[in-house]
Order: sequence, then structure tokens, then C-alpha cells
Amino acid sequence: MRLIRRDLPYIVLICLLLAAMAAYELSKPHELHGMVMKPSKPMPDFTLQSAQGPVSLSSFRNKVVVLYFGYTSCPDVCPFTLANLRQTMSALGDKAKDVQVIFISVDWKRDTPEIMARYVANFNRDFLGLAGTQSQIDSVTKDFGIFYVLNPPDENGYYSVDHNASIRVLDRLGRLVVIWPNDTKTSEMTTDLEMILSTN
Amino acid sequence: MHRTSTRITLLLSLFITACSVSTSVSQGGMEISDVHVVVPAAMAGMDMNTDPFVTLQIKNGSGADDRLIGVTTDFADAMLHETIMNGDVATMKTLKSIDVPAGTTSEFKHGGFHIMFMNMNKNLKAGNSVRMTLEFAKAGKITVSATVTNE
Repeated sequence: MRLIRRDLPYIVLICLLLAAMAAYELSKPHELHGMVMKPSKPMPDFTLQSAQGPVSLSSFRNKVVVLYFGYTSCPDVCPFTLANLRQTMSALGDKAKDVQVIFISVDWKRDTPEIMARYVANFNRDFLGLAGTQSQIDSVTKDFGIFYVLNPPDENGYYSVDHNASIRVLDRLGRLVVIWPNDTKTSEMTTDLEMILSTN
Repeated sequence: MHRTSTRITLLLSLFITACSVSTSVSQGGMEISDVHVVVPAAMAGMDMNTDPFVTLQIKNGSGADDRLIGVTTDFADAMLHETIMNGDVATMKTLKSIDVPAGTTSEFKHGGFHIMFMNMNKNLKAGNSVRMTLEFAKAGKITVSATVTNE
């Protein structure tokens, strides 16, 4: 009994410390996953072609924009990334209406606005597929730090395209806030988007 | 007598069924297993080229290094591919052959070595069963059955 009374101040101190640590964890701001822009970086506008006509990035102010660059003949990485984004939008529920996923083709030779529209509709009817001329795609990819190269065709005429596979997220003001690596989990994307949606 | 022949018929049909659902085939020490043709769920039923790919394992117990030099089917052209991530850049290479060293098990899957079907002449759906022939430089041709899946 005497031992407990003697140790009581230490026990109280440890409890206080644990409570303080828990409070800190709870109050700590959510950290975005991937490469976080500090401060958020205003991005230049662009206009590309959708199946319904020209579309400008600036027309999505007040929405969070998720930008992914790839191509429809992409055998592996692009369809899995878009499938993950579809899952993320589904997890967001009603909040998904404030997020616009845009898939931009770097394969200006093969992908037309119509092909892009059909392709993205297979993942989510609200996704937007955009295509452009070589000079338009060169300009947009340069602005957004995207590397791409169309490889020489094989004997069957098929060519692959090397390209950055990360995903760019812009806030409601059109500022780049985070770049997600391609292996970002859908749960991480969902919590990041919830946070970005709630902050501006 | 009648009962015996019924029993033999039953056993034979069970054996044939077991063989037909098995995805493991061995020949000359080369074992092909877990063969699936994957049409990603998001792409299933889409009205354009979906480029399904094959996942499988090749266990080379032949005692000699070998190479997969080709795959043929009656419903598509098959190509040997490798997806490589160089940092953030996704690169896909078309390969003439894929090494299968002796004593190793090579896994073909999304994001690495894979067999891709192109120029399809039939629409694959989950649950379909298809056949393909893998050709090795030393082990020769091995025909396997695969089930189509969406994952």
C-alpha cells in the first residue's frame, strides 16, 4: 500500500504524458501522402480537346482536380491507376462531386478526344478524357513536369509510351498541392482528398 | 458387373474433371501453374481493345537453363512484355524471349514480366476457359488451359 502511495505521483505523471501524446496525435494536422507542395503552387491554365469540345483547366475552379497523364494503349500501369482512382471516387461518396478526375493522353498520335471519352467512361462516367496536338501536349506536360516519349514501333506497328506515372492533385484554386506516387493506396488518396476538400 | 462399370465410369469422369480444372502442367521438368488470363475488372466488357494479360508461374526443374520464346493461341496475337518502373517513369519493353534459369520459379504478373494478348478475335469474359501454347527453346511446346478472371 505504501509502495503504491509512493509511486502515485509517477503513475499520474505517466498518465498525463500519455494523455498529452494522444491529444497531440489527434490535433496534429493530417499529412498528405507523396510529394507535398509547400506552399501550394499556382499552375498555368491549359485548353485541350474533349469529345464534347475544348476544355480548360480553369473551368474546374472550385473543384479539386486529379490529373493523370497516360495513354489508352497503355497495357499495365494506366488502367490500374484509373481503376484505383475509380475506387477512390467511390470511397469519397457524395464528396466526389467536388472532385474532377482528368486523364490526359500523351499519345497524341493515336488517342483522339473520342477514344479518350470511350476509354475513361469504362472506369467512371464522370472522368474526363482529354487529347491534344503534339505542341499542346508538349506544352502541358512541360508545365506539369511530365516526361514522356513515344517509343519506336515494333514489327506489328505497336509502340509503347514511356511516361511519368505519378498523379497530380490541384486544390479548388487551381494550385498544385500534392503529387502522389503511382503506388499510393486508395485509402491514402481518399483521406488526402477529404482533407484538401475541407481546407479550401 | 453393371455396378462395377458404373463405378469405373464415375471414377474416370472424376479423374477427367480433376485434370481439366487443374492449372498445373508439367513436361520435361518444366512446370506451368496458376495460369490465368486477366481482363482487368474496369476494362471488362469495354467496346475497344482491352489487351488482357496472362499471369502464371514457370518452375524450371529440368536442370538446364531455358528460355520462353513464344506463346500462341487461336484467339489473339501474344507478345512477351516487361513493365519496368524507373523511378516514376513507367516503361514497357517488348521481349523476344524471357530467361527461365534452371532451379528457379519465374512469376509472370502485373507490373513485371507478362504475356499480353493483342488483336483479339474474340471477347473474353470472366469464367471462360482458354488454351495457349508456351514454347521454350529447350523444353519445346507446352499447352496449358487458363481461366479468364477480372483480377
